[in-house]
Amino acid sequence: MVLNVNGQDRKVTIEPRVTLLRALRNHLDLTGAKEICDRGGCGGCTVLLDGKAVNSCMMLAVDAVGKKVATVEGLASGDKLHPLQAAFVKHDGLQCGFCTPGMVMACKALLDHNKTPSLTQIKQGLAGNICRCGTYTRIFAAVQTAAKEI
Amino acid sequence: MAMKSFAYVLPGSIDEAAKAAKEKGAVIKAGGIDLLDLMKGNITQPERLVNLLSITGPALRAISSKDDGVHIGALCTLADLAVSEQVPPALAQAAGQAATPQIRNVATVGGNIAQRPRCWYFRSSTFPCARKGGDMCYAQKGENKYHALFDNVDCAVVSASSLASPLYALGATVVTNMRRIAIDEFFVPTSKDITKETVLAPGEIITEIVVPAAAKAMKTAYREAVEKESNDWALVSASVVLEFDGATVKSARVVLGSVAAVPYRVTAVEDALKGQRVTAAFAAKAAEAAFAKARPLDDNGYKIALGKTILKRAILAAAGLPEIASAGG
Amino acid sequence: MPKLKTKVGFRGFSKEIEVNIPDGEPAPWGLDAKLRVVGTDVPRVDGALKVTGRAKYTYDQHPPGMLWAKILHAPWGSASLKSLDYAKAKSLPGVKGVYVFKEAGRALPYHGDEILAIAAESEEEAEDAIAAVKIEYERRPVSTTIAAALKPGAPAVFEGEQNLKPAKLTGEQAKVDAALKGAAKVVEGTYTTQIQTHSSLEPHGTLAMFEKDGSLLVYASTQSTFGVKGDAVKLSKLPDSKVRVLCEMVGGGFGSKMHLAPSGMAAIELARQTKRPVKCMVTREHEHTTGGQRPASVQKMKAGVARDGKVVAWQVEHHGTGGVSQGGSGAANPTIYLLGEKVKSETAVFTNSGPSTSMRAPGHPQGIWAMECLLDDCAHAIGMDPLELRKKNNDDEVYVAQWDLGAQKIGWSERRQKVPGKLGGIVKRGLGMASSIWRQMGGPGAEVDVVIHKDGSVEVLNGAQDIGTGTRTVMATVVAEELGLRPEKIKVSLGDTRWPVGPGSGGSKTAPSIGPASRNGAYQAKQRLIALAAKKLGVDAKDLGLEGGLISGKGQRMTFEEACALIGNEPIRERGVRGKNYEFYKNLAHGCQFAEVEVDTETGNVRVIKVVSVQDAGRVIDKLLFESQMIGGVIQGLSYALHENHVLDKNYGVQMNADLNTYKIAGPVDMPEIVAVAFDLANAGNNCGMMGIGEPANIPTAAAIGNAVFNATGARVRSLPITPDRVLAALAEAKAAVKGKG
Repeated sequence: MVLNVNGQDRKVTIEPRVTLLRALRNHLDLTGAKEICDRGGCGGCTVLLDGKAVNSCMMLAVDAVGKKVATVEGLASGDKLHPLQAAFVKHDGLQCGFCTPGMVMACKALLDHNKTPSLTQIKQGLAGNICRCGTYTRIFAAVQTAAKEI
Repeated sequence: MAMKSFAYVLPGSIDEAAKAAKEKGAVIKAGGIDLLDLMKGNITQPERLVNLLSITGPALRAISSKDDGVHIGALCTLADLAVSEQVPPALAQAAGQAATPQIRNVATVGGNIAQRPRCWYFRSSTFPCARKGGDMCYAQKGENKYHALFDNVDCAVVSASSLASPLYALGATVVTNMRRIAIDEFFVPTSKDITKETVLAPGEIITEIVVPAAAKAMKTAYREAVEKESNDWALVSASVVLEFDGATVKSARVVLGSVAAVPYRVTAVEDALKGQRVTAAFAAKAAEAAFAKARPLDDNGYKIALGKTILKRAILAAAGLPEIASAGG
Repeated sequence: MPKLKTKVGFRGFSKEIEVNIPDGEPAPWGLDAKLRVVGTDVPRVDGALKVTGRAKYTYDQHPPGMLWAKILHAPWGSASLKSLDYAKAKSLPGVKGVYVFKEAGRALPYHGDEILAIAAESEEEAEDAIAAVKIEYERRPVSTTIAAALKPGAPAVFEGEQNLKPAKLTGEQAKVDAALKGAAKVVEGTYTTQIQTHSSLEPHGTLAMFEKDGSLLVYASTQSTFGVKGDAVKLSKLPDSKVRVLCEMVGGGFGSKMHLAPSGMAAIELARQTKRPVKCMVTREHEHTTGGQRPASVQKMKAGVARDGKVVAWQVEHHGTGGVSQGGSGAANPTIYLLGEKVKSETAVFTNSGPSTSMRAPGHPQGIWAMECLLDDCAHAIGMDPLELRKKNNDDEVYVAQWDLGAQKIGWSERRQKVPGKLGGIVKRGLGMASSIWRQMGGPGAEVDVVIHKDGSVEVLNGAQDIGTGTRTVMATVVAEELGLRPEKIKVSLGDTRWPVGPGSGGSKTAPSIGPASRNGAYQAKQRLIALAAKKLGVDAKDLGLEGGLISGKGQRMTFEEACALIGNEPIRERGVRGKNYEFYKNLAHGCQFAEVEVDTETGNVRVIKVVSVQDAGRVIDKLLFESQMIGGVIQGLSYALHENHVLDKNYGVQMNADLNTYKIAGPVDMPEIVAVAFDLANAGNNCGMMGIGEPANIPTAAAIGNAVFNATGARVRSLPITPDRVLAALAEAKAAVKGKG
């Protein structure tokens, strides 16, 4: 099957049971998104599908055929961080960094759909993401900063 | 455990899907959120997966107002429903509070009401529980804090569908490729059949749900109690639909969620509300009646007090009154 | 040992102390030291890697030819393995190797116990093979809680062994009894805490491969590269020089990843068997059941308090369970305060639950929860402001200054309910506070190479790991300060046991061990660079200083880069060695947290509105990351206080919520406003005057929230987590008590 990932058509040969997440990670070497809870409860596997945030662990790769998949790897242009990524670094919206790719993509989807989110909207927009180190309030600040800069 | 191999069927129409779904070991998939959870947990291992998402076109995905009411396509997502101005507030509220933003972007309305119930014994392949055709209900003497209060003798699972209760309260109709089913007839209580929660037959596919036009004139509200505000299943929820005649309630439909295997309608409360003016004191009194027949297990008795509060607040919210008495009381 | 005087203290308090610093070390930074980088907001040096998804964790490694290994775990809380047949599994397509942990006949005393592991070509094939293993269990009765395990005739967790060890007793009961008699009020209550799982988002896991020369390369998700190396040497029986452990990034540890886990053993054994690289990551379910846990506790508490607020007697009967392991199940209490005559019995109890491991401030959140709640009970009993009562029992200038600062930031005098629960209304607000203590200054066992290259670039190397606490950034900051550079100019490499030794990240000792070693290395490298410059400039090296990228003195100057250009073919490479700690102002980290909560008394929902955390750990190196640690501690503490609970089925010992949906971790919507106040303290003790901040930040949150709930409602919830059902029950109990009195 062919998956369109970050603007590129990528060919993969996989069984129908392979999730979009495993297709990205195990077959396309895009290891940003993580399998953390494997049940749609943590957001660590968040990617954008036709612009909407989805849990790639709860979706079969075959269901993404014909759609546009955007992963964290496609966000920066070369070495230049996307303003959202830069804001994460500036506000230290990360510690161990394992939830970060999913968190960044959830924030991206949030800002794509709401350019000036309130604090409450930010919290609700990220309600599907868990950070075990406890960086949430830093991330809220990063989203607020990024909203101003984008 | 993990998902086993299956054949993937991509039908081009509902008819093709229905035909494929009748084959041995076939299971219908829409958004797939609940189904993948069951497959990963080794509760269901379909041989064939019939993917409704491959049926293109707006028919299954649109929300449209017609003479007989609002038609909600079965493949409409919870995210779409949450922001729809065509559907009653209770339904939009329930959709907007369900699960997480990511899940709401994928989960469908049809899948939401046809999902399997929640119970950690049912969802664990370790326990051969009654609902899976096994020997007993492990929740009865086990960890049952989140379990059912009603119709829970043989099995204590709870419905986890956010939409089922408000749709039930709204008197919706479930339309399938085979028939129209009044929502009152759609759900199957545990006492009737422990192995399934809906009347859907093999090969039967939900195509749309119709919220009756009459609902437009109703006042509706959905309220739920949770332990955690980010992504949690309701401990108990209440959907209230009130028809007013001036300041008095002409008719009411009241349905509780997360207290039984399927949405639990409480006609006692509906009767109590009929012909009354809603006040805070009256709402509290009416809510009392809802739990008269509750059969609490060891750890879920708190749901009774909690449920009364949530129901009271839903009644007040539907009536447009403040849900929480102001300070000084 | 050069002797010198240094000014220590904090804003509002200072004194001079004499310290004996080891030869060749720079003097500690005094209170008046003018620091350019240290103490400022330095962004995480590996931030860009992490936000782009380019950071490679063990879980992300995928060398050519790699096999995937999965583990079969015991499904029941207690069983014996009657039969085990993996012949069919082994014959499935893609399956390359089987490693058996436990043969038939063995006991499996907890849900998740490892039985065997299978390696296959794909992740799915490995999963299929695990599902194809035929296995019979003989289930046994279980003891899942402390109360259950202590009942007469309770099922034995280990056959032929008692479920509890003899109590450890400290203090004299008679003295405490006498003091209780003399107390104005006696308060008592049984406080309990639940099992908390670490729930690191990257589970335990290892990638192992044997190189052509027979040496073993191990990528491990670990908080102790050298610990894992030691374990791998033992397991593989290879010489020390033939085992190398790598760990570039770790997705959290919180105390659970100090050793080579069973998944690591499986990876190594299967790599040996198959002659292929093998990666074995634990599933989320079994990260919960086997990844480690904070022990549960039952603490029966009694205290006597005098009219003036002095606590005169303190009694604790503690039972703790670390599941199938008994270590580390204690509760840190009493501590911080004086508390008069004290007696304590501590008993470790076996239960049919996975083994506990150290978790962020072992024993402290549990012990502080019971202690700080009981102190509030004391204050309530004599009608005293709880903060006032604490001051009566500890007058240390740091604590007092922090309490006053925290009280001011939360609005203690204005917003606290003078009479708990007295405020009318359905939704009630209240304030609570609690304190923390942590004793860890780091110490020897850390060496850092600082390399200055001819092109002006600077490298810093250590073999230990950064588990997200910011070790890399701390090292870059310290070295940048010493070399007069910006931190982003320093390239820090961590996580390879071929580099100099570093500690395991336990006890908050990584930063205060590696930080001073980094400074020593930078200091020595600087001396060599200055010597080169001095030679070139024709002045005495003693007269030259390095600041802001300039080497100058005696009217002469040269840029850092110009000086570097004088370096020969060999770069300047100096190894900084962490010496012993010396004289200090404080050898402990102080902290306190204040919480404001809102309680819906009809639903029992507790919403935390605001948390103020004031915390020192000696010198603050990076204010941004220091505060991040504090915020993270508060959030994890909030999650422990209100949500997290490891639910073991009482009849079968199966963890029912081994996932991240029903094991409830606080998420974005549950967040309060968090005010983190990094309390900078000029200390000595080591050349940075620093301590670790990871663990203390997590200690007092639950107690502060519990006390705030009491302040809001007048109802005391004595068990964690404080869930709606418990709040409703406590409210009903409080109401009944009032009625009973009336």
